Amino acid sequence: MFATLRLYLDSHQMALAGTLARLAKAPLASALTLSLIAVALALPAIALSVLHNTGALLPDHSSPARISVYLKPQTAAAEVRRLGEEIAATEGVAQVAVISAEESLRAFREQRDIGDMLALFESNPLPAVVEVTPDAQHDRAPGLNLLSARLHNLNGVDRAETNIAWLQRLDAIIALARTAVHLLAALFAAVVLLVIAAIIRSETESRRDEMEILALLGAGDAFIKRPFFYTALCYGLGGGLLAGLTTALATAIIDDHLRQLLSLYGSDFARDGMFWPRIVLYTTGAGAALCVAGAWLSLRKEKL
Amino acid sequence: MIQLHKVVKRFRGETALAEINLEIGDGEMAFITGHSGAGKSTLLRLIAAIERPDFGQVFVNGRDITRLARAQIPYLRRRIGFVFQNHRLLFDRPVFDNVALPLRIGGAGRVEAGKRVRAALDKVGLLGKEALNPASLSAGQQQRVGIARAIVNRPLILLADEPTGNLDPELSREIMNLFSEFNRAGTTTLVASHDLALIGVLGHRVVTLHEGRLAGGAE
Repeated sequence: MFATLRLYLDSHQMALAGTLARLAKAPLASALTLSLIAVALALPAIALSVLHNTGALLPDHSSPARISVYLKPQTAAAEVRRLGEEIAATEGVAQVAVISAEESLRAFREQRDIGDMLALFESNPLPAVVEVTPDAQHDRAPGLNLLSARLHNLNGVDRAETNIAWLQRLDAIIALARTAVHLLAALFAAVVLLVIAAIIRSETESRRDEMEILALLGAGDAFIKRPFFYTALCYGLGGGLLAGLTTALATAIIDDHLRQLLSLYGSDFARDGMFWPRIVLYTTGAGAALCVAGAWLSLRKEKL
Repeated sequence: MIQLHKVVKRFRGETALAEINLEIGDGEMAFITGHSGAGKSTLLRLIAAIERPDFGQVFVNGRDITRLARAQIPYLRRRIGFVFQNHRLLFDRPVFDNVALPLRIGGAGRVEAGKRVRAALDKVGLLGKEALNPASLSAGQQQRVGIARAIVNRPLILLADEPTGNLDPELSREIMNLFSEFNRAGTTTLVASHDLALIGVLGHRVVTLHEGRLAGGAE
């Protein structure tokens, strides 16, 4: 039992050693193929990684959504109260807080710079505001936008603004980018698969004689095809490793810029992107799987 | 050991072998002779399941190999040593690795393989040439590497297709003597050759093929 396993492992070890020797014998060709695989894997990996990190860098989406409903200026206090009640009764509203024009003014006066500026006005320029907390069905797009529009259309309302409008726009952009990147990743995966299938095909063509001799000497299918699978595996692992390191480096550089960009939106995003060994693990795994699948594709029809 | 029963083989409508009935006993040695194109190679290739007959049966060691599943053919070939006219060595590796191929395929351990390869090379008189590339050897030596590869696995049957086709008479006799020697050790041996002069000297059974039919030596 152990002896059989030992012989089996021996034969695998020999196939692997033979493959490595063969790759080392043509270093330029091997390096070119490895680079090709690495680039084809790195491009979608960088895109996916940036996408993933953009999601991670964004502030927590679970912060409660709010709608600030600005009433028309110079609305009488009684009308403000009535509007507050009307808004509270609107479908999708969980809670309201009415801030009168005077209260707003008082709050602004406490901030020194703006307070001085307000002294220039003859009358209070600030409108009354109703701060709305939406209920659970309306605290995300599209419900939130619907509610916002509904409130905006009420008589006596100047405009309604959601506090996470920019986040929603970003969300929409990211959703679009995600689709594009996934399509890109699928295309590049196909590229890796087909490149390896073509390489293994030309390799079997150039080693046809050897394969025939092995078959005549009593080698089975698995034995004859094994070196080609190992060749593909080596390309996949090597290319994936290179792609992973490239991706980790590129992502680190891009993340810095991303952080700066997002800080323009007034948040500081402290969460980190993906840990780089994990990136390497993913690309190496994907490379190995794609290349072995490519080899299988190419060897499937091979009959000896 | 080998029985052909009403074997017919055609290639694109041309009959290569027609209704061949032939029996080679256990431990027997025989020559198959005839003009080129008489069907000698085809006969050997049928026994090693490289070709399948269109009709008839081929028995090897009691089994009808025409009914073997594709996956079973490698096991049959591991019991047969095949020497090719153009020796079919791999020039990208040394003599040792060439001879060791059947052992690697059969899954012999490294130490055991080393011993057997050296023993096989010793028998064909090439001990000490293991590390050389077969391309650096003479035609006769290359053929002997091919023979060492065929016998390294101690096959039940040794088949040789024109093993002396490219060699001068002196070397041819040496090669044929090697086959006689393996046969004396108990291996059923079947050699296709058109070298009638040489065959006549050796005194084994001679099976003659003429245009795909047996013309002598069938019994």
